[in-house]
Amino acid sequence: MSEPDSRPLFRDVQVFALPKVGHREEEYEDAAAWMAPLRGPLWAAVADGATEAAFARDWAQCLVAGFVEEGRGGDSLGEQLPAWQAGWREAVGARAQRLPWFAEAKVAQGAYAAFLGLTLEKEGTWHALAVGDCCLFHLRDEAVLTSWPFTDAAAFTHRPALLSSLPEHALPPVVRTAGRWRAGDVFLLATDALAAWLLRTGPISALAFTAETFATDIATAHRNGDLRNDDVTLVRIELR
Amino acid sequence: MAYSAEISRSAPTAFVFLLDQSASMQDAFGGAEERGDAAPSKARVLADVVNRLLQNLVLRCAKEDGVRDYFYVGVVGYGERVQPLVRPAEGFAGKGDLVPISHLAERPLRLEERLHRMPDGQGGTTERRVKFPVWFDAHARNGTPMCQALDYATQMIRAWIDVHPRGFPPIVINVSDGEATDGDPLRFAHRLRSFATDDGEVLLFNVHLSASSAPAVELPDAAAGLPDKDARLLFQMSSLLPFAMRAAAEQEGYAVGLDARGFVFNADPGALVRFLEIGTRPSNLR
Repeated sequence: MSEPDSRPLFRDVQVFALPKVGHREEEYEDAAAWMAPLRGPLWAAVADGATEAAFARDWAQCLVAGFVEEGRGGDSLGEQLPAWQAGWREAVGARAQRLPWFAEAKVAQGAYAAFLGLTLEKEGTWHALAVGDCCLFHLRDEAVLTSWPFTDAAAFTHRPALLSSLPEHALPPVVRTAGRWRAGDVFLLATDALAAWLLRTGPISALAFTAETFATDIATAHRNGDLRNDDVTLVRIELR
Repeated sequence: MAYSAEISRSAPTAFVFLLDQSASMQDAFGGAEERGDAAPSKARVLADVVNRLLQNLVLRCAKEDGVRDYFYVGVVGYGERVQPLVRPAEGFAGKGDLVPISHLAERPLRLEERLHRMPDGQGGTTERRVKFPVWFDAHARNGTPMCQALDYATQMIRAWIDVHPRGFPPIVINVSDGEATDGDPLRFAHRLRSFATDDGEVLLFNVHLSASSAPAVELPDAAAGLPDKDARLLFQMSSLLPFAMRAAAEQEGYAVGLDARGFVFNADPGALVRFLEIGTRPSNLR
């Protein structure tokens, strides 16, 4: 194996995450994960657990962990979903049996989450898939090359397509896109409220985020009514 | 935009249910499939529908770690007398007769086991035993003091608005056969609807359970076509559906006009629950 192949693709990967304003950290229901084996591709994923479901955080975590850890990058959601759904049932089943009637009923309704997964291949291509309203931004030289699947903040609704943790629910439409990356490119994966805000204000601002400025900027945007009160999650991948 | 305030634990909203418990509710419900002696009474249908609705409200707020108090709920029965049917738990006295939804969740009268048919994932259906919480049983006696009940609800929501002047406005849902015996309820309905938070006027929705077997009417935008004067009166008393709720109704497949009101005539219980879910499903719940 030649020397360049064993170098990681990325210069830096950061995950920024905050719960809704007025909520505790343990009430945060998004999830993010990434993995970059030395000689393999880089996988990254975000998921946004639906507020109205119980154990949505567990479901969001099953999705992102499944995508990055199984080494296949979840190219075929339909094939991999049953295993992730079984993982959710295992994670919540024992806990749910000890809960009162309403939690039991809620588990029977299942958990729901929007999902976006990105695969960056070493040879210079990338591909992504999504269900729902998480967003991907591809930046180069401080310009936006791709904003996907939405390009307009007005496109977000309160009822996006979501992946269900219950096998009896049909798989909603999965959208896919692909492209080529270059050294120095930046990819952003964002959950819906943050993505809508970035679309309005320009995703380039995310290049300068530190953990501190992220928290301050989000708090200010929320206070000014520019950002919907929601969990916010951003994965920022800066390529070498 | 009106009716867009966030609903959260720090900014909850209120639901007040007014339940007709008058003697006429003993009559058979006209929207049932069964006819004659086999038809359930309107009182029985009302109890079933309200229990199911409360269950839905609880489930919307239920998380793995408990029930979040997005909603405070009041239930007022009117018949023999006008009285609150749920009482605030200890520690909540002095805040009016509204009960945090978590307290309701923890205190049903009983849990019944029912068989629920659900899809099996292979195109068929399967039956599963589910727990059905019951808070109220059917009750039907004396006249229909609807005016008094609306007045009672007005007191409750005024007290609520004093404490929550900026929140999503309270929603009052009146379930009745429409035959008020203590005056003209329209006047009391107008007064109730004249109170408002910064986010909009109080919403009054009416659910008409009638003995008539005329076809069900859901979310109409005109009184013309409604089968009797009681239905027309309850329609007139009802608020226009706010934009977000109209959009939700459309998403659920309802053909709703711009002037659609929160009113259902003689809907079968299933349709009634769907309607109520829409009426009580503000899309901005956080």
